[in-house]
Amino acid sequence: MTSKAASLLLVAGIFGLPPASAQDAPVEETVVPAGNRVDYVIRAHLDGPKKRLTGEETIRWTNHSDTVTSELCFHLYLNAFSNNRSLFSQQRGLAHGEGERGWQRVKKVAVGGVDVTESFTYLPAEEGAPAEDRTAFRVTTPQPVVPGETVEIELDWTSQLPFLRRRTGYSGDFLMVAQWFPKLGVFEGEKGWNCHPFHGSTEFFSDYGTYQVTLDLPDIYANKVGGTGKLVLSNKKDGDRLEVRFEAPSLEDRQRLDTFGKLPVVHDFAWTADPDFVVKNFTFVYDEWTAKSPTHQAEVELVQKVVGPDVAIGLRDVNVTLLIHREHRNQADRYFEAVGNTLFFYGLWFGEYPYEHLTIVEPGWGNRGAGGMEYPTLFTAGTRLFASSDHHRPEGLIIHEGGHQFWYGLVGNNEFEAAWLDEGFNSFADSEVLTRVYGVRTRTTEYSRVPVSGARAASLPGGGAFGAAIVGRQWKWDIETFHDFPVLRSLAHHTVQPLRSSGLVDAWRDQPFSTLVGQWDDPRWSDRDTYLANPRSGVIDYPSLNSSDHRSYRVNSYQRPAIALRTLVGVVGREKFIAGMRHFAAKYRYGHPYGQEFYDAFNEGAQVDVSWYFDDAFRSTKTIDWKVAEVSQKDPEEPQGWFQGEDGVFRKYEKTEETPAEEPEVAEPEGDAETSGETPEDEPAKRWKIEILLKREGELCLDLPFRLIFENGAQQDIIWRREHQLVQPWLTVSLEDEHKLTAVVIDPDRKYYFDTNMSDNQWFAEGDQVAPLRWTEKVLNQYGHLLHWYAGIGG
Amino acid sequence: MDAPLENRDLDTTESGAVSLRALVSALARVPLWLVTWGTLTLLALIVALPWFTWFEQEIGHSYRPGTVSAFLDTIFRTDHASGLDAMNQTTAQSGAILAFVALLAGVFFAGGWLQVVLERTRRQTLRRFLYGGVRYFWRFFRQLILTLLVLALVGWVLYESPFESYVVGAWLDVPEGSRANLSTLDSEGTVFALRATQDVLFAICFALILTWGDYTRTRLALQDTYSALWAGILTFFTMLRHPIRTLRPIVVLLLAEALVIFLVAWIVRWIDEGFLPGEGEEVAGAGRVWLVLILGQLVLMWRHVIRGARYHATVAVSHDIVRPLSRPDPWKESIGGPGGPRYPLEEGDEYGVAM
Repeated sequence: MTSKAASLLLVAGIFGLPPASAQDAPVEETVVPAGNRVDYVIRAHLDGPKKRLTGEETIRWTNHSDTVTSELCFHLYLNAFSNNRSLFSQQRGLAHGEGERGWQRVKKVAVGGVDVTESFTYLPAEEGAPAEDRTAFRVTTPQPVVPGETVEIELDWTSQLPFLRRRTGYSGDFLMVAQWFPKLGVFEGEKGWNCHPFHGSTEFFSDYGTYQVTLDLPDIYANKVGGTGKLVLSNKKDGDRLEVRFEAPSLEDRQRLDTFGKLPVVHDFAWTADPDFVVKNFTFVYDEWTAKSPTHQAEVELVQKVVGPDVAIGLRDVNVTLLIHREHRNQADRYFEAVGNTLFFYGLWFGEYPYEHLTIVEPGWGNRGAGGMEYPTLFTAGTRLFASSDHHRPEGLIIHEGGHQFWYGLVGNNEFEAAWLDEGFNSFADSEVLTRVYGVRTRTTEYSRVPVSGARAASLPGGGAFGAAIVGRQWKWDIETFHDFPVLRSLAHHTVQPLRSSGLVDAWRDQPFSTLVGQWDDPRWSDRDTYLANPRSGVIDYPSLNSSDHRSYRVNSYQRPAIALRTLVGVVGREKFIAGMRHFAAKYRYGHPYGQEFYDAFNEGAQVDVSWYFDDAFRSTKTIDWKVAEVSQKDPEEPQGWFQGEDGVFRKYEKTEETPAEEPEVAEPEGDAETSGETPEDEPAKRWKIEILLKREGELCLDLPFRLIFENGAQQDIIWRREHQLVQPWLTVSLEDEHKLTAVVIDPDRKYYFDTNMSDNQWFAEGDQVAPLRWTEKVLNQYGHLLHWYAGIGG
Repeated sequence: MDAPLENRDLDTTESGAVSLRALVSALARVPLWLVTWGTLTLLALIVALPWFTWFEQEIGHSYRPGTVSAFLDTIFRTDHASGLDAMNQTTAQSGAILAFVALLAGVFFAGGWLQVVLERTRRQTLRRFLYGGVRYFWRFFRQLILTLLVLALVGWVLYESPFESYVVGAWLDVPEGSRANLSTLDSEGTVFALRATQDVLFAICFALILTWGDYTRTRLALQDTYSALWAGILTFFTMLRHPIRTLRPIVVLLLAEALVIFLVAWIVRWIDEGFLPGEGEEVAGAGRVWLVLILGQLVLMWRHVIRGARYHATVAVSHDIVRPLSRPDPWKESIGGPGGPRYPLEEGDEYGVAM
């Protein structure tokens, strides 16, 4: 047995062996009650010039909880845009000017045919919310609604659409109509009604059911209307009106069990119309996408392995309608490609998209305020004229918003309180799709709105007001005393920009083709980048609406859960991860899970218990930084001096040419001290004494693999077990080998995205001599051109 | 003073090859463009060398050789975000000072080039270059201020209230609050066209103003006058009268400059691709970096040659179209020149011979 092997055994004994490959785990399709049932029938008339909707709706609501209730709570989201005292305006600033504001007014509420308008009261303000907020109200029911009972609610209302900002409203003839009708909150049994006012950061929460929506619109929108579900009627009426009707889900969908054995329902309804829409269609067919590339095929095989051979994998055909602005219509195929990939990969991982139809809205330049938002079976994206798939634009947005059909649309988490369950999960999954299909994202630098691939090697000259002044970019002055003299008042403060930024001039100055350096982003690691900008800003599993600020909300709802999930893949392996996620998606499809439901379902589906990980990663601000602290490789010194044997006798060690240095043989003692030696048959190989010190800083401990690479190419993988890390934040590995180490690499497969500093995760015997020279050359070249340009201004 | 040995053909634009002659003449003045290139490269090194030190420290033994040569990946940029930020900030600040120095150096180089070109110096050119730089410095510095003010004025017209009010507001009917982002326009194409028009107009004006600056400096040197403002006004009208003659050589030189820049950029990009080794390929070594560096510096040298050629061209054109300055002639009423007898003698003068 070599000493290396012995060390390995020792390390394995202490730190355990690598985890066995994930076992196939049949997905358990547990059906849980999907909250309360709510079915809407809405009729609304749009006053075209005023952009005002007058509507009436009938809601059939079934109390599926085990608690009696005597009140009904509703959202009036558009009132967030009515003044500067709504909670939304307080948190995000007033977006709308005079004449642009939106509001909602309920004229009548009846429950079970009994008029209860008199009981109408706005919900009391939540802690920290202004008393004037009018975005939620309640009424009292004539009779308590007992578990299992269905009540019919009728409302008459008026909604003034706001000018298009914050993803809803009008802009010219363009309409993006979302959160536009009084919408019932979610009754959560003993916890009562979950009906928060419209918050600045968080989004929405409502029960599943069906929608039949009939709209009476100006006929300029003929064939240019899209909405949740399926358009089932489009009739021109007398005069200049148009009647359209949507069923959501479609009547066919309501009869078709999805792959998890459930009947599709939706939890919101949004619609859009624009006479300038160009309508394009596409059909997603699973078999075509399976054959698209080896990557697609490999994913099918992996998922098949996860669900077991008895489950046939397949995704339904989906008709996709794209409503796109005319000047972007040449990008329609890219929209279809991106959404096809979304339906394919998300469908494989989290279960099929169960509806027959999907609508994508590309709102165009003037309507960008509507872009990038998700609604059931409909989402909005956005693109630009010079967008390129290398830049993941608009593909990144399409995949993200399309992905929300699964996380938000099918698994209907409470976005007020657990936004991470859709935003985080979706951020995780969209990066996975982007990376698989489009690879890394190319960074660009824009000149006159035209993106050029590459980034500047170093910053441009500048650095504050002084820097801007001496390079002639901006001369700014504010002389108070000038205010006292009428003649000079107009010169009291002014800004002059001789060398202002201007596309083509900047391009000639920068010489982008000569000086920009290629830079690419892996979307998966970009999530880590954002997380590390503020790693202790809060925890993931925490009510989103109570986030300390918008930035904390974003990091802990989007990027941090994404890297927590990605690290979870590293912890349990891909197969178990997919099994866990798929099980959760199946169990809570059309349901309202919170964090604990996710943890339990994941453990159940993956057949693991990683509750400790959920506690550490999702419910704490623990961080981690592993590092290779020291590596030493020594030619072992010859033994020198007197050595005490087991018999207690000291003997002087004396090397002879024949004596192997490492394993001195000791002769029988003959007195107090002796010299000994032996002649081996072969000359022994030189052996190196190698010592490696690994350290961890931070508390988020995980089984840590690290790899030793020797100069003969041999590799040795070792795991520093979590249990050991918890009691000792360092690890020393000692071994002897004939070959020197060339590298020590922590987490060689880069599975853990939480590491706050990965620059110290590696040690290489040979340093990189080229990189410093190369990047210096890039800066030198950039500044050579820059300074030449400035010199040219001078003369 | 050295003898005027330069080819007299440079004085004429009849051949229509002013640019070529200017280029050849500038190219032949090796010490001059080597000095201008060397000066600015030394300045650029002040910015670049700290990056070498920083990268050397940060990379050390932490990265597999070759992995951070091709590009800095997301992980590297995240792990070194604070260091990179600090370096960029330092670069921006020191870069600003160096850019200011470069502006002044440009003023100095202009004087040097014009001194040498006007004298048609062949030997000791560097000495005369330095002399010219000093001689004309303050005149050209005033001209630089004038250039910056004109640029500011043009920028204000094209990007601020005049354009925003009359084009964006009155013509395109964009309300005041939306003029910055043009959110009320329904076409991105319109937005692009509008902004591109502004940028193109500004770029043209920018190039014209710099050319006007070159001709103004040439006039100042040619006529040995001091008023940058007056010379600038006169040059403006001269250029207005002779747009083709004044602009053609400059445009040709600009094209020659751009051609070489793009050609070498294309070659460098091709070489750069070698830093992204394929599977099993060897990692690119320092030799490739040196090759890229040398090519980059050759391009910069070429740009400095073009800079000199512009002054050769402006002098050649100005000789033809700028009238010699009319100065008071103290000998106008006399017969004979200085050192000789003056006739007619004024009343009371005695006959004599000036010694």
